[in-house]
Amino acid sequence: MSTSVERAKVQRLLWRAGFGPRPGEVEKWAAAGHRALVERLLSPKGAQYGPTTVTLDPVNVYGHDVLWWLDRAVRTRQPLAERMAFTWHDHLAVSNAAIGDTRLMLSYYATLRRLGLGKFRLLMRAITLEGAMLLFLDIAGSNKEAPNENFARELFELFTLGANNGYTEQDIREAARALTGFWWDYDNRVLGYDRRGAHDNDMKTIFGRQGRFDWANVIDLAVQHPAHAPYLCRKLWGYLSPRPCPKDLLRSMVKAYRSSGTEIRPVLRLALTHPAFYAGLDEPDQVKPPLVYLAGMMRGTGQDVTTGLWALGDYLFRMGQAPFYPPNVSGWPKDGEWLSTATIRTRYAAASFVASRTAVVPGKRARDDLRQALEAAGRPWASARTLAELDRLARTGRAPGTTRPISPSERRLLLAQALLGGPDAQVC
Amino acid sequence: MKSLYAAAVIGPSALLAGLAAAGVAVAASSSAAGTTPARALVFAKEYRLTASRETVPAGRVVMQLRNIGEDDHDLVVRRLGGAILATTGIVRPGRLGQLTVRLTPGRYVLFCSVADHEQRGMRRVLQAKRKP
Repeated sequence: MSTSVERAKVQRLLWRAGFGPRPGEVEKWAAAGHRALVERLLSPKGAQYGPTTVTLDPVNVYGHDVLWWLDRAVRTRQPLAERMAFTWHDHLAVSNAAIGDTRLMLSYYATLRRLGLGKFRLLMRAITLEGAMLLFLDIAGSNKEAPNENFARELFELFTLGANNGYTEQDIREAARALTGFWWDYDNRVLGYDRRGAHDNDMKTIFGRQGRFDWANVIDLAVQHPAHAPYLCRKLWGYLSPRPCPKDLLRSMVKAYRSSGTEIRPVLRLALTHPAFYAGLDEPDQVKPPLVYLAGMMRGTGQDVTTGLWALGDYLFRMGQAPFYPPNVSGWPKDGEWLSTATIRTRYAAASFVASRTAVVPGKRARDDLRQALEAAGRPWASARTLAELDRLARTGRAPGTTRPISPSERRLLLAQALLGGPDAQVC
Repeated sequence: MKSLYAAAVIGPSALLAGLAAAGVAVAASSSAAGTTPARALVFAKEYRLTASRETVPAGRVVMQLRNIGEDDHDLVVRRLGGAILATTGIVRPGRLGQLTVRLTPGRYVLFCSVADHEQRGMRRVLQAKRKP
């Protein structure tokens, strides 16, 4: 018999380290124990995705790229691996609004997905060579006569070290020289590297070290920098919890990261098993990012990305988080910044849309409708106070503060909408 | 903006080719390829057109133009060395345009007819191939 605490821990894991539970998952993993779930998340087995009947064409139809990513989030059977691909999309942000080449964006996604739980050093190297990144931050075309500093600046400021954290403007200029030599052939879609021509092969000094550094050396120097491990570990924690990273946890994460040669798995294992990750189980405080919110509602209610496609993509844009289209190289906002009068309205509209496609089986008595609505909505977390209010609605057939009677079918829809779109549903 | 997200079914070969190029594995699926038009997506930015594919099956083709640049652009389809067949009309920055054209096997030029944009590089060749 699983305890309510264990259920709450499993809920937290599945929401913060995935895209929410599918029907039956919480009970299954609560019985097995949340530690077992952590290990399964870190070392997934079996199929990557559940079945689908829909054919999306992300390359050739505008908007299908956004739905394609949503579809993968909804159908994933390896939630943490999929969630980390999205986390790295935020951390190593590239936007198709600037690239205009969905084939390159899908290749970029594939690299994030393939390497997202492995060594960060290898992920950073691979992403640097992705056509989407080469074009987004102007590495392609940068040559020794006019080195472009965009990528070098973001590599230090956003990707590896943090703003003004152990590097100088001169380091950026020298790194930009080391990153010269790449070009992109738009006609033939080929990446090239001109080591003897466009690449600056002269001596450079980066972080006080001298050498004829090239692009790979720059990545390695950045991830070996003393400021890198604390920066990245703290940032990873920030994706998992809105609370400050405990000092003891940060120390152990940094140690594991360095001793493993920049492996992400041991860092995540420490974070996902630390008591701080499970703080406030009865008062969840992380705002669900829009993709997680929408995918989670669909997973919880057993829905697929099949019909109403335009609406789902539109909701993501209006909630402020369309995959493949981060607002800038810094990625998306975080936590409370997700909530504004406009986005809350859209979140409720999205919940109503999902609820309208959710069949709530009528209870034998009106008071049973809440239990049935909870089942239909995937048993989302709701506070005791919220449940009491909804129970009153179910029993009296009237919304609080009104005298207008509500029909049984309208009542069931309202209950599902409130459970999926109310304040409690926005946090995890 | 419903049209931006309208469901579309395409021939499985085109979808699989695009994803395979991206290193992304997808499951094969059937579709009514014989009755649905081929699709192509073109992004416009100063001064380049980036097309989602280099070849399409001959027949009816729906092309979308997404303007991610700062100036107005359009998409015009012309038979190589021949007449203009279709245009999206002007597409303002940040907007989406669309055209439908029936292509016989052969080579076609996609270009932007605004000012001197074609001369400045906004031009692509698209090949329509006979269906196997």
